[in-house]
Amino acid sequence: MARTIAEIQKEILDEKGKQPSLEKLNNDSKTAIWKLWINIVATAIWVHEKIVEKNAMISRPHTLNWYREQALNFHYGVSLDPDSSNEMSLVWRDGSYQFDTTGLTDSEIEDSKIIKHCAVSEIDLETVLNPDSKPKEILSDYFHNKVGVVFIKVATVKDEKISRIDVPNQLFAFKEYIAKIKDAGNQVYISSDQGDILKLSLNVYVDPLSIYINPKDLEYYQSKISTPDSVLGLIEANESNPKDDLDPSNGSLISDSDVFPVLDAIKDHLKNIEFNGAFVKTYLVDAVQKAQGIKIPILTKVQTDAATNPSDEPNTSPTDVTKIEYFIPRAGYFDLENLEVEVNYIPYTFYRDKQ
Amino acid sequence: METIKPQENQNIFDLSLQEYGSIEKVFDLLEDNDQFNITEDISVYQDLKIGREAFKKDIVEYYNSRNLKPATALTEEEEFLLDNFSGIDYMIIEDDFIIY
Repeated sequence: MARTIAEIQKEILDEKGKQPSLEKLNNDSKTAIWKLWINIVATAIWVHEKIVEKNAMISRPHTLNWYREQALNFHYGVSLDPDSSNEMSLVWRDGSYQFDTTGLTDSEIEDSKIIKHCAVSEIDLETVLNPDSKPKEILSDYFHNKVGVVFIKVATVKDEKISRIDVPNQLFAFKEYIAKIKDAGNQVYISSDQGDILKLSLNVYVDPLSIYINPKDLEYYQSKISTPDSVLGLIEANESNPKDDLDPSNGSLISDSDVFPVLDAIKDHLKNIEFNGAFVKTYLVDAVQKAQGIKIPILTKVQTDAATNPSDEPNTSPTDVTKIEYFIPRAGYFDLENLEVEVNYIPYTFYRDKQ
Repeated sequence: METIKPQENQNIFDLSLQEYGSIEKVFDLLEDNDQFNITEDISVYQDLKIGREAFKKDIVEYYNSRNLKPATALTEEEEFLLDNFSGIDYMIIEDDFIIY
């Protein structure tokens, strides 16, 4: 905040009082020549301060937040100029690059802002150079000021669903834009991927009064819980998959067979994780716990992996991350379309069991 | 927001003084008119938007009641005269005052 002329003037006067050699300037007229000079100097300093203040305001330091704001402010249009990949030209104005939006209505401008979600982080080089590393607890890296590469994850919203921006056209234009506005020498890695694959396995003790379980499937569910994973794999390989015989309405509300409280709670929770937010096992369990008719939810297995391209071989064995308490999806979000949830429903009947 | 017409030989500081009572409003005045240039001359044909609160009301009143309009910009004639200093007091030894 720039000081006022009066403040500057007072400071000069105070300083003058401290100098014995200036005692001769003692004319107490309000328009004494030395007072006028003080006023002139103070005004010059004030003008300078105002200009510096304004410049500082419009040329802000390029922090991670600045990158995020710039990404969200990206306008995408159809190319008119062959040199530019964008209809709205980027012009230098007021000390920064801005999109020239003259002649466009507000809604047109709003529509051209394709990036709805953006997360910017800085990751140390080690993580970058080793892309095969398992999704691990890199959250702490985000908060340590490690010099490295600026990572920008972006996504848009299509049909009210979060999805990646159009590759390659939109992504190419966006990369050009960032290349133009970023600081010289900075490494910026931009990605917009499909949502990560997520596979969940749960054992859920449910209230048999409100959630439907076909009695013939009880044995299967019980065996899944009591049998260790390694043995189960052998059984499944030998026998015909008993999973296919399960009643599809298992887990639905007895009062409304279209509502599956566990699945709905999981989907709802995943949808509400903020973009590039961490998936936390405990929070998911908490969310399921709150659903109707659920007594004890136990998360037994979590598998995740980055999505593969549609043309590539689908990834059938995602990395097991059950032991990790929280992680951040590689793309910034999970693909809820291809979410796989396996639930073992067990009726909650402990009170009748022998102690 | 109202608009005013600058008078001949008024600069942006004069207008700030006339309308707001102090030159400390000059940057607000510029902001209202979508510019950021205090050195450029203003034109009598270009209306200026005003309408903020005065910085020093007594000074605004003083100018209003006496119908005074400060105009301290240099005329072209004055600028021409200023540019052509010469003679004793203005010459610099070995720059434009050279003895051969």
